[in-house]
Amino acid sequence: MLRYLASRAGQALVVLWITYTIVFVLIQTLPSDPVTIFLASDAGADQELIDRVSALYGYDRPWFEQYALQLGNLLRGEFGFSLSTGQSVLERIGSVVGSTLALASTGLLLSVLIAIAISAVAFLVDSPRLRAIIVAAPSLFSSIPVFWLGIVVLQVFSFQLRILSLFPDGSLLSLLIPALVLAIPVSAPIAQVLLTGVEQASELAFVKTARAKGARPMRVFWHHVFRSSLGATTAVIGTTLGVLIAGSVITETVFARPGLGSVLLRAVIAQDVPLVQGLVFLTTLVVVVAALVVDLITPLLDPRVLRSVGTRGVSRLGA
Amino acid sequence: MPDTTTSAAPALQLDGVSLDYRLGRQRVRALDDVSFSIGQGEIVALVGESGSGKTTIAGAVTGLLPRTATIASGRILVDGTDVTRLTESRWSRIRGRKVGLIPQDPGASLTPVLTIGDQVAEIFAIRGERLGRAERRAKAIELLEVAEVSRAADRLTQYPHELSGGLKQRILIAIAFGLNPALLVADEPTSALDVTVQKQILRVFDRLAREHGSSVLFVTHDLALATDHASRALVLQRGRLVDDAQVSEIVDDARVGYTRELIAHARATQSALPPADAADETDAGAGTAPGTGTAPPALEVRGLTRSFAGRRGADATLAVDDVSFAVPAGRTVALVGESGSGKSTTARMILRLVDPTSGEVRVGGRDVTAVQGRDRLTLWRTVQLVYQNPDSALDPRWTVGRIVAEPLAAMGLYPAGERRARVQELLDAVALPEGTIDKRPGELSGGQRQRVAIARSLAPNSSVVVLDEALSALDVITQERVLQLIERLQRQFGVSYLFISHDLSTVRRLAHHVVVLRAGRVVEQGSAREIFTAPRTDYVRELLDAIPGHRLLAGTGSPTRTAPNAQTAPTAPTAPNAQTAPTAQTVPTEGASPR
Repeated sequence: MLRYLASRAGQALVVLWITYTIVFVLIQTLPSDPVTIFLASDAGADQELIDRVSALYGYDRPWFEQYALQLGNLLRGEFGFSLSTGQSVLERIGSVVGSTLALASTGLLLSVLIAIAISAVAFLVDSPRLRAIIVAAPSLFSSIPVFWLGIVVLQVFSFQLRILSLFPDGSLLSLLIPALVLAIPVSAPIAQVLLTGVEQASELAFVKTARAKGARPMRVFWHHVFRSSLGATTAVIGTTLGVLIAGSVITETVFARPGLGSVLLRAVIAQDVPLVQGLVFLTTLVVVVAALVVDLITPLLDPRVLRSVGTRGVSRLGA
Repeated sequence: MPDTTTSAAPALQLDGVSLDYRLGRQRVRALDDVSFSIGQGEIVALVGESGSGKTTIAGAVTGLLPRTATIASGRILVDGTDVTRLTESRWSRIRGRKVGLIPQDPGASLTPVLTIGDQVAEIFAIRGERLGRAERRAKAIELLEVAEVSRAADRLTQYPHELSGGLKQRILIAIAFGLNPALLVADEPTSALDVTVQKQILRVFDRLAREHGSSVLFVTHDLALATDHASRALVLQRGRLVDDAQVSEIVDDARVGYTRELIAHARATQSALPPADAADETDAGAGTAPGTGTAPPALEVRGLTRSFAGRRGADATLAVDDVSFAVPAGRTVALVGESGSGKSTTARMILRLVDPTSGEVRVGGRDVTAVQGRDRLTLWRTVQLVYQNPDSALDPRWTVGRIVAEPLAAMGLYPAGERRARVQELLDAVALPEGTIDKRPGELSGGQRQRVAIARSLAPNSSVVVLDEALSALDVITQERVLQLIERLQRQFGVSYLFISHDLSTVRRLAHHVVVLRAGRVVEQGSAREIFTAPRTDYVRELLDAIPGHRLLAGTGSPTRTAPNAQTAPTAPTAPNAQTAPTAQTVPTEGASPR
């Protein structure tokens, strides 16, 4: 178990290092330089000031020194200060992260609910034609771009129905609608895996036993089929977390919500290197850790694994 | 029991039922104009080879057929209710109340993620009984105890994977009788279990059926089992009902040719005396005195032991404990025992797939215990294995020709140009039809697939073949044909067999010498004649006694002879209306019946 954790932690470090490198290379290859952009609006900025700021951030050094310096800072947890606002990077992120987390977690919850609803209906519906339509839904969902769906939803709800304010007003609706836009593409892979799991489980002998008992189709689904197909589904949720964060950024931008999305967008435009690196580093860290947690939880859903991993003190469900 | 319909209605009635399966654009007829009925309290066996449609009938009667099945004509009445075309939701109201199921494979028939307690107590929820926690627990324990589940209270918190197959089947029986439906369908309920376990399970089943006065449709491929436990038998052949008669009649003199054939086969395996063998009579080849003959035995193991380390510092368990026996050239030695007795581990040590902890394996007098890695190829030129399940032992994407040639290619035997001729020779030897060489396993029947596996095992001119439950997945008649093939190959090529089986009737038919294993140890070994006619230990006597077919062997002299109209044979419960219902409803399909 410890060995597994160590290897997974090693993998996480490699992922962090690769994302850092990609972002570093992208920023380096941009034609303009961050300090010039930062001071462009400042009429009194002369070459001396530019040089001083560059030296302060280390931008006057050769690229490989910058690469090592910035990476070292990130690994030590020193995220530095934003170029554009002078605020500490952590502070800047901390001020908006709550909003993004609310959107992302509501979106994830909705996507899981959508996936469960699709698989339940597919299991319960008798008509083969209706089933075929429902089973095809996830493929459709996965091919809808978030930004397009967001614009369509805004057009309908804000401009035509006028039930949604164009800007977030703190109402439940202004959270739910963007979350739903985010949830639809995210639900697709979850629904596909869950559908397959349900389809396979419903062929198994124990489902026959449950049906032969006279259990209603609903009961067969919840107690026997659904519970048995959870394993692969939770595993796939771990892999959708990245998509979820990326989708949140786009959704926030479309719905003009404050959050990591708008901060990231502005930071990129301003070439605010410390802020971009800090944002990418932290979100990658969150995704990697969350995926690991999901992977560790998944096997525990199967009692066959639980009993062999756990000690004798594991709580047992009685009749 | 919510038996609101008239109790005079038969528990089950099929009127001219024809059923098709959709296979792509085609429709395949699985049942053709099947009619029969089962009276209240009657126990009726449904017998047939695999593919005869027995499982389809079980599925149609319980509404558990796959979506591709459609009832083309006829109707099915369960306890007076027409169930021919019901939606899943309507069916869920019929099942449990009017019809219950004891499934075929206890290992896979309980939900793995729920405790036994949850699965037993579920029936109270289904019946809409609102019970308190303690009450539910007490009732669940009571149900399990009635089905003779040991330590019933402890079982409630266990998961299915923690229990043996026999226990799981008892739990499934407890659930089925707990619901107390008018009709119980038992679909091959013990085919996955050992004979001794089978016997115990069926004793419980018989008692519960009697106590509840249940009507039972007992689906089985094993005629011996059918005649032991049912009062009437329905015989299916290729989707048609060819016979419907009292067991007593069938046993004494079956009127239908096909039934007579089945009975004759069953009786032959039951009563066949082990092959006479002068060598064994004098005990020359027996493992008790290994190597006494002049020629070394084809295969010999001495003091073979294998221990598996216990988990978390628990004591190591001995899967195989000091096992010694010898297989003389051209003879068959059977390794017999219940599941978990160490049969398969012994076979795997012989093939050097598992390392023995101690002891030695000799092939043709040569010690092969230390052979490792690629050197084992030379061992496998001599010793080959045939598995239980030909479906998983043959690669579905390969042609039969490639499958059989594989050991030749792997061992570099025969020049590449001559391999096809060698393969054809082998396929001819196992009597596979012309053209099989270019087919794929999916196009062959179960028996044909097992022939391919046997042909492959003989490919490198091997002299010893280990048959690990090689006949267990086949139905009786196919089994008989493969048995004959195995015997013929032995006469023709002088092959020695190590025949591993839990099925004593096939062992009796084939083996010269028998080694009985129990919990890894040899409890008794000797010539087959000795073992079957004069067993020395209680354990072996018990094993022999558990073989079904007592009634079949007892044959004539059944009391029902004198009362030809009585519908209940001696073992059937005497439910009040058992006499009247079946006679009124029985409409045998006459098409195929030469009556």
